[in-house]
Amino acid sequence: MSYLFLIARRLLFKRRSSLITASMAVAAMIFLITFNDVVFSGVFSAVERDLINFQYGDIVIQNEQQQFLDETDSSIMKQLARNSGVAASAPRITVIAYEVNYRVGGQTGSVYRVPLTGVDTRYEPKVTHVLASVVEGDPFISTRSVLIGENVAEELGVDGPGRSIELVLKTAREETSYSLTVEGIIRTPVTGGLNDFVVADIELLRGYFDLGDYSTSVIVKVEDPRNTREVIDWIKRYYPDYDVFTAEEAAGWLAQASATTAFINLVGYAGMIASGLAVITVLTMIVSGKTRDIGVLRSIGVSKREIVAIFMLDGVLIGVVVGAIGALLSGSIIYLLDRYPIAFFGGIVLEVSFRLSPSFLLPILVGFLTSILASIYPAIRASSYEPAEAIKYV
Amino acid sequence: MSDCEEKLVVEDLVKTYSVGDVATEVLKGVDFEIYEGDFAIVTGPSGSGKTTVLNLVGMLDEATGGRILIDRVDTASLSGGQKDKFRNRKIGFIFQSYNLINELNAVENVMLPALIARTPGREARRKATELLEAMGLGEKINYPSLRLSGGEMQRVSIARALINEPSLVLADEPTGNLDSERTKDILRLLKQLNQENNQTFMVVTHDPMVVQTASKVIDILDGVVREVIHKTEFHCPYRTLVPHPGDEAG
Repeated sequence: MSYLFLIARRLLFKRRSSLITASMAVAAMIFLITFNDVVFSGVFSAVERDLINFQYGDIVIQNEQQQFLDETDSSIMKQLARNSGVAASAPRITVIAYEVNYRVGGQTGSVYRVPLTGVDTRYEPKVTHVLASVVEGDPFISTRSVLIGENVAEELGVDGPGRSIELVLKTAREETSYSLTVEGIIRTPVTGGLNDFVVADIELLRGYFDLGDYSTSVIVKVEDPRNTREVIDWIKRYYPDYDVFTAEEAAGWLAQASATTAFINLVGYAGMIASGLAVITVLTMIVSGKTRDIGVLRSIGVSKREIVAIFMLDGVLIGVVVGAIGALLSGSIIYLLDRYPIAFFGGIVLEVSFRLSPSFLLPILVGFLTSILASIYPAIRASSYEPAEAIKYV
Repeated sequence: MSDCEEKLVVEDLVKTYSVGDVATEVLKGVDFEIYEGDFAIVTGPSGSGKTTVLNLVGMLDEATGGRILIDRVDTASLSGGQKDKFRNRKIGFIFQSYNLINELNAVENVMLPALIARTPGREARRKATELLEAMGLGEKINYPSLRLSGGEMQRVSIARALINEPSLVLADEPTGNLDSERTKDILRLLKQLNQENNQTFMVVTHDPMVVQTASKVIDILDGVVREVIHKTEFHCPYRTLVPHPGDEAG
């Protein structure tokens, strides 16, 4: 066996530059997939987590026109409470405020078309962290007070809680103004998306619309996120006319990003296969270039099976090198991100942990196997040479 | 020199190559024997079939018909794996172009057949080193093959052929790529191995200088043995050859 390894190792050096290039390509694909999986997926998971925590909960129930739901909140929430997979639910009314104004001294700060979310303070804390994200002031809002996102506060020039703002709601027929106290300023991770919002008591908006116990959406927290899909299916059985979806689905771009991640992975694996073809080509070139040597080896007693083994060993050697380089590159970046966390999108801290997870090991394993598989054809080709003919090859 | 034990018996050897519908009969029934300790030369003009004979005897190619017995073993009766083992242990090859593995150094080339024969690495290296020293290459055992001269490469090739102490050494134009001085050197070495170790050689050549050294000359022409010449005083008796139709007619 040792001589097979000796020959395999020496033959590999025959076209080492081409082989290094092909191997590095496989290793680069391992890196791409791991980076994409571990890092980008880490980002997307964190974004999804923020969306769940601050905007949507685990599940959102809306009607198809994004208008008010046909059933009352109490009936929907009562129905949801019957499912043991539902931890809590809360009604929301989300509209666009026409204008928000703040006057201080002789100056006026105004922002237009501001997303306005009405929350029920009794239920909202059981589903999201919106009220817990107040960084200045208090979360105790009423029909006379609001929370404003820090970006809104900045644009208006509101320097802290206790200030009065004017909230203007407008329909085609009329315009209604409310003078409200800023109870607190909220700061959510950028990906949570409430920094540009005004959060009001849901009763304020119910009063405006004069609709009583109705809302534009009900958000749901599930007991176990792994069962989210089952809970959605259950809800759809009772409310077939409503749109019921997850936070990821609610944020279309996130679903798109998730698809992009999957696409990049696909590109990575396709690239790995393409690089595997390059390994096949290089090994085949080695086999062609060593035709005479293969004939000589056969003449001194090396069997066909051992010729296959020599070139398969080359595949294993390449696989080990490829896997090691891929693991080193990927492991290094994950280790560095774990040790020195970096923030994306102006706030979100990437949560990456350095561990031997399937998403880390799978591309390495696939790269290793690709190299071995790539050696099968050249190995079989090498063993098919007739020694008498091969020896004559110059 | 000889106890007249048959080392190699070739009977009615036929080889036909087919390309599409065209069949070319290269060997048309070759018969000869080589006895232990023989230094037999197979000679003949280019295209006469002498290298084909060597390839068939060395089991590098399959005969279309006839029999080859080495140490009384019918090589056609061996399976593929048995042939590999037989070739490794019983036959040594020396080639015109030396055919060393360039990626291995001198001693690694020589020890390779021993390693294939499952000789422990240290033992294989010791035997290879001894052989190379015996051939005057003691100082070049770790030289890369490509840095050796033609004569040195052929010595390494001879050492490789001998390391498993084969029954039969097959040499195909062993001096074909060497100048006359190197040719004399190599011939002297081969003869020495033949005489001192009673090593049996079958050498394919059309070099007259090599032919002169033979104990037996098998002259092949157009795929048949034209003549077998015994050049030493003592030689083993002829086997009864199967007459060919052409001979009968003659």
